[in-house]
Amino acid sequence: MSSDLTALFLTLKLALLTTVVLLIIGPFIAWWLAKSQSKFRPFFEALVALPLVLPPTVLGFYLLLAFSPNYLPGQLWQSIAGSSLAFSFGGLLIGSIIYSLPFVVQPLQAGFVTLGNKELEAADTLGLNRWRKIIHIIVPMTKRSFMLAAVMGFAHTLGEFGVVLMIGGNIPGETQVLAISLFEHVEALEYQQAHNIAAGLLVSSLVMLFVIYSVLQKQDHR
Amino acid sequence: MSLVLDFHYQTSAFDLTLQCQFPAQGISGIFGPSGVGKTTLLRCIAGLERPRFGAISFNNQVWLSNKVNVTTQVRQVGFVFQDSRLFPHLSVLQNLRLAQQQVTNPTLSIEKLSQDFDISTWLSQSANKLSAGQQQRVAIVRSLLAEPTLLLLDEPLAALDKQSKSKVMRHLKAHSETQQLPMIYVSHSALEIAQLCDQLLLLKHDGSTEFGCATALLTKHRQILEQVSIVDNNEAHHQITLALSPQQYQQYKALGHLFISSDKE
Repeated sequence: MSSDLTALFLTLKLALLTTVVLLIIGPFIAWWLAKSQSKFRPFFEALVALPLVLPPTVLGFYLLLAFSPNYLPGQLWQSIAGSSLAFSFGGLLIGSIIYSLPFVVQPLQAGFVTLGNKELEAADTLGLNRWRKIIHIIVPMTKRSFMLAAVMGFAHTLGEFGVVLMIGGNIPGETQVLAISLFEHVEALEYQQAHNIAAGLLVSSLVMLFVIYSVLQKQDHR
Repeated sequence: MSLVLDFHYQTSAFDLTLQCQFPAQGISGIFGPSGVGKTTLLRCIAGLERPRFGAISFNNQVWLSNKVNVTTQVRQVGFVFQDSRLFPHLSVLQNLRLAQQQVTNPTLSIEKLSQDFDISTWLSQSANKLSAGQQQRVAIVRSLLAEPTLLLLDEPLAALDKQSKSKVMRHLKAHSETQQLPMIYVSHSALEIAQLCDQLLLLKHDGSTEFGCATALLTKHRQILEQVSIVDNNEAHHQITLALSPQQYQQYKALGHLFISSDKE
């Protein structure tokens, strides 16, 4: 059980950090995708959406290659950090950020498109600078999208399996997340332990999604 | 002290070439049929849109030239849009406070302006719960509280009933005078122009323009005005005359034949 608890804490830590990082970089990507008239925009939209359609193992495979000391990114990391990204928590975090990117960027992008320009133009004519517009207009008016993005990013990272398997392996306390320990238990025919994890993930994900959709519904009625 | 415009704006819908100089005081009207580019002209002055060629300067500061395009925030141009564009997630009071916070040393009082424009009773309400006419009045107060150097109004009274209209017009005019705030006022209603504006820019269907004293231009172009103006009926005429000062009434009466088909007084 204690190894499962370790896996639980690791999973939560990974999901939390991934969500925080994505909520920092996601809005900028989403804003550009929502507002840009560039002819390259569809390409970047496709790139962001790629993890939605690609088998996680494909992403994991290329990340594994990139992290390996045989290639440039891995070499650079090795020379800076002194250790390899592959089979480490840091590598897992990078993989999760890429893997969960569309789940955060897409709701935000939709929110920014719906927001439109009208209130922002009004804010310009009142003299609000960029930061004041973000704080007083953009974030409050797209609050729904931010909440949805946070929950989707978090919940999706909880369920990560394929990418972790490829780049993280199965090191307890470092890269063994819940979905992997579940797989381990099933392979070892430890169905009771498997049930604990599977049912736990199922119920907690359902509760999380139920809570967020309830909150969003309440906002609609206000 | 003036707003100098010299520009050319072209879309598939209209072709606007304009050279004119608005005095930086009082209220200047812009009048013309739909689709000649009145709103676009205001948006260009505010810096929300950029004309293809052109130069705009205000009180000898260059706002737009080949090399320069000063942002809306720096121009400090207020704008009352046709749709009020209040911030829907804020209360009326929060909308007003946010505008006032942009001023380093605010000189205007929210309470005073709210009373003048009859919005005091809704201050605590959510902005998106108000009717279109109420929202429009709040938008006017909000734009004044930001203390702009120039205020642009794009048919601001379209959603208001006749009685509120004349009251709002009186307070706008008074505010322009006491605060020495120049305003540019776009309207479809010759009556509003006649009551509010000192000078007038007339935009015509054929793309030509004319600029001059509001009363003189309105009188001169009787026929055009009858075509494009929302001709106010006798009841409205009656209500408006009640709201006017004696001096305004004389001015209005002199114009009356333009707008009233049969004067039954």
